Amino acid sequence: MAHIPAGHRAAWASRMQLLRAVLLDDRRDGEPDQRRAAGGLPDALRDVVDPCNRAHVWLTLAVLTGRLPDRTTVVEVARADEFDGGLTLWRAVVDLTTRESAGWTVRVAVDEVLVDLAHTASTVLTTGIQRVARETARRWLRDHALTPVSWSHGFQSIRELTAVERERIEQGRAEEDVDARPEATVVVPWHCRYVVPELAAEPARSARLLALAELTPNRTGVIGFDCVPITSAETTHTGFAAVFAGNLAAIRHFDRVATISGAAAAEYSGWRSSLSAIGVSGPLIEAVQLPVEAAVPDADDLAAASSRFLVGGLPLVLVVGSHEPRKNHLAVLHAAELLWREGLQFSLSFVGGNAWGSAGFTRRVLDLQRQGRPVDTESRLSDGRLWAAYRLARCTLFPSFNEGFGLPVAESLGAGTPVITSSFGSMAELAAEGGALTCDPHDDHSLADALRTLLTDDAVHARLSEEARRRPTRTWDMYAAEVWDFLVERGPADA
Amino acid sequence: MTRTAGRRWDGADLLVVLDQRLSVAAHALLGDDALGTTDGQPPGVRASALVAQLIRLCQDPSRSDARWLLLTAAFGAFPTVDQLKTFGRFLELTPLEIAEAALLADVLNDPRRGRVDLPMTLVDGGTLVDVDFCARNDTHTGIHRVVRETIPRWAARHDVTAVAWVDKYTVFRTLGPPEAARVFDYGTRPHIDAAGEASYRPQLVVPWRSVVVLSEVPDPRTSRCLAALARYSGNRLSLIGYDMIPITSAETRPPSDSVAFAGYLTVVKHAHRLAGISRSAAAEFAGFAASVTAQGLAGPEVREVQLAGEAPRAAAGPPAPRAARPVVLCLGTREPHKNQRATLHAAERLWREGLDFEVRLVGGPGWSDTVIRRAIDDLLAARRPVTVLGRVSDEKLIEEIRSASFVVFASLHEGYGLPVAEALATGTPVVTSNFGSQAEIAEAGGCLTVDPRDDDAITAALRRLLTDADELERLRRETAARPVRTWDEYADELWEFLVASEDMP
Repeated sequence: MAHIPAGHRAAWASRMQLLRAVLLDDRRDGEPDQRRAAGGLPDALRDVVDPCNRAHVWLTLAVLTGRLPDRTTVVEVARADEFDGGLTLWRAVVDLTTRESAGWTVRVAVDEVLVDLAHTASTVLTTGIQRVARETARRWLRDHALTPVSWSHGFQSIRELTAVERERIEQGRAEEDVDARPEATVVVPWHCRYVVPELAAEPARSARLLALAELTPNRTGVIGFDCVPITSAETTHTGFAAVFAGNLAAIRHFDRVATISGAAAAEYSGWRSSLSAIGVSGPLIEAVQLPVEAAVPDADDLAAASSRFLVGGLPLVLVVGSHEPRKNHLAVLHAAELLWREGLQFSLSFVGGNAWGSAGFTRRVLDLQRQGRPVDTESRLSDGRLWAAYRLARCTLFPSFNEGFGLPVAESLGAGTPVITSSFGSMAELAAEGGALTCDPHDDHSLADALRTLLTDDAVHARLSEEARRRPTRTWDMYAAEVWDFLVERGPADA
Repeated sequence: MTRTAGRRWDGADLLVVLDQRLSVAAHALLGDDALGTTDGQPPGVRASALVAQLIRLCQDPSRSDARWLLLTAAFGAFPTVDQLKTFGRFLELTPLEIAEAALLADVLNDPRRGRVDLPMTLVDGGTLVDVDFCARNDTHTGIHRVVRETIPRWAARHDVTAVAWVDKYTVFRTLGPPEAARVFDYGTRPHIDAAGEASYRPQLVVPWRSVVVLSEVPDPRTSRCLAALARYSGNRLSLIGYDMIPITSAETRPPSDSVAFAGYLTVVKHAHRLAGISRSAAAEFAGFAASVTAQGLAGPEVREVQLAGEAPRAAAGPPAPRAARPVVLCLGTREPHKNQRATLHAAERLWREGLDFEVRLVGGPGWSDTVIRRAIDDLLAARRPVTVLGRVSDEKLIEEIRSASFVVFASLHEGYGLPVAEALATGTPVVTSNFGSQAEIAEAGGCLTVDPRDDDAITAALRRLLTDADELERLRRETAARPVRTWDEYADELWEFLVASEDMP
């Protein structure tokens, strides 16, 4: 241990006092004193750290180095400690402390609620998952005492949010990229509720969350969106299945998963029952269905959407969602062409960006446009104009092969516009409350039949529109409160 | 030049085999009358005559099976779901005579989907078994042993066609003579007629109203074709389900395994039947099948058909003398989920307690042995009696099992745990995991079970068997009383469930 920078020694000295205080507190809480030989550790730690206890090893490494260890590191250090009285643990502290991490301020959070928003806080973009995480976290911040957190670069440690990041969560807008991360305080959770309302699938993050969930006395909960990368790998990027499986490996040790629909609960429950093969019971899973709050478009948005989407007096058929294969937009184009050939008159507009595997869709749209069919695509649309487009449409189509929720179905119904969607999963759940026709998305004719009905049968159209308007409203406030109740309030007592 | 055929394609030859393949398809779809007589006509005339009739049949939207067979015959490759759907949509929007010409033009423009240069045979109402990996490779661990014990038994009792894939993994083909030997006569040195091998020319093999059995986990490149075959061809797809380690225990495998396995699951979800090799494996796949209800699929019917646990053949003979110093035998490839690391830790604790024993490790290095290798190096440096034998022959393995005091196999995840069953069948007690398939095997006696994630539990089990001779002897007696499940029983039950059952959906 020759060339240890003075900065490291200073950091360890002050962090040792933090660690000592936390572990002394633990003992007052009645935790039995199981200390084993700790002669390899500095004096300040000998009477509080059990170097063979995996939770103690995790905490010691996390606090003293400022970086969270993975499972293998903790287990191997604890094993070696048995034979050298903690010398290996101290060596690991020395080896794993970096010049950078020695400079961080470290805080041990005890008995707090930590909400992990690493991705959502880093961007103002709004994918489906980020919208859920942001809307939920914003309400939790308003209603409860909690600490929102992110990760240091490379997912080395959990840290507090910067002011800019917090603004992104609370206001949904902020400067795009402010490089204000390094000085934020590192947070080491201990006896905390650790809640992840977004998809935390980055491999380094998954590996550290696995160790945190399995080896420490923290209680953990997560929002489960879907298991599509495993159950429908043919519809996702090659490689994402492995990333997602790494996320599941961590979630395996979590206490609770709040899924966004009954269908997502079925996916996670199937996965959990597979865990019997490895003698693990897995998390408690409960569906807390997402809300949709329909916005009322103003006159400007309606006028802009009318001029953008309406073609003469033709009824508008609207399709919202990116053009990835899972959304089944080629079937929509085929069903539409069959009906155009029958002589039906309508225009077809897609709202959504290009995505992985969308080349075939783009080609087919061009073919149809060359043949003079009234079909087009719009890749960027403000929320106000999107809500206006929903209102203007005769009906919307969403015949996806697999969805955790099916946001465009809920949005269309929230706007009072009938929708045609798939006859299973989360889409069927939404359809069950009225306003929708369902079809078999694997059968183009089933889709064409449903579309023909909505275009030609005014009675059915009126009935479904009425049903859509009568659907019970479900708000983000309700959703955020229910998820908080399940993941935080009703979580199991601290071990 | 084609890479696969290694020779220049001759246009007329290609038309001759195209005539042949389309005749086979037409025979199946339209009957002999449709074939007519085109004898004496130039190559290709028959093909164009048949395509017209076949496409007419394929215009019926309910005949996805006919479209599947026509595309297979035309391209010499099984179609993917996307190709099938595109073709179906094209037929619905295109006049007949244009569609005929377009299909033949597509074959000419895109001849490299499969093997347009090979003739095909149809297996109608029969049973095909994919043994591609075992046919091409000499590897002989878990899955390969199951295939080589089971499929030859099927072939002896039933009409079975064993197939491999062409090099592009888009269509089945017959096995070459050395390949058949690797599957059906593994371990012997069969006489392969050199002239016969030289003149061997593969044929494409296409199932029709048949059962296709995947006895291995197929190459990931087959996923798209197999999903379409399962869903649209009218054939039934049956699988042996080994385990879902790359998903359920993803952190113990390389990411590429998880990606490949997720591709396999795109086939599994459309399969009709799946035989799990243990209750545990069946439960894993049943969990997956339950999760695909969210996408409107039923998933395969899953049932347990427990693997055999016979002692390997070399096991007969007088018992080997046991060494004076007890031997703890650690079995398994050296990779994270096999968990030998925990056993080595327990051993070090016991050596420090003063117990005298040797640890021997059998099994080759796996995808990552970083952690275990470091532990072994440390023990060797400390002059502990540890011997790393690596991969050994079946005979050597049996010798090691028989001369060991007991075997430790405390894996974090197994579909079955063949080494546990085989050690027990050889009469040697086993320390194994207290969940999943390992616990199932332990139920019939001869084992101490432990939580493999608990070093204290493993230590206690080893200490007990090293210090309590009565307990070891009791377990040894239990091994003798275990019922032995034979490969014959396994092969028969597997056939009954995967192939013979009348109530196949």
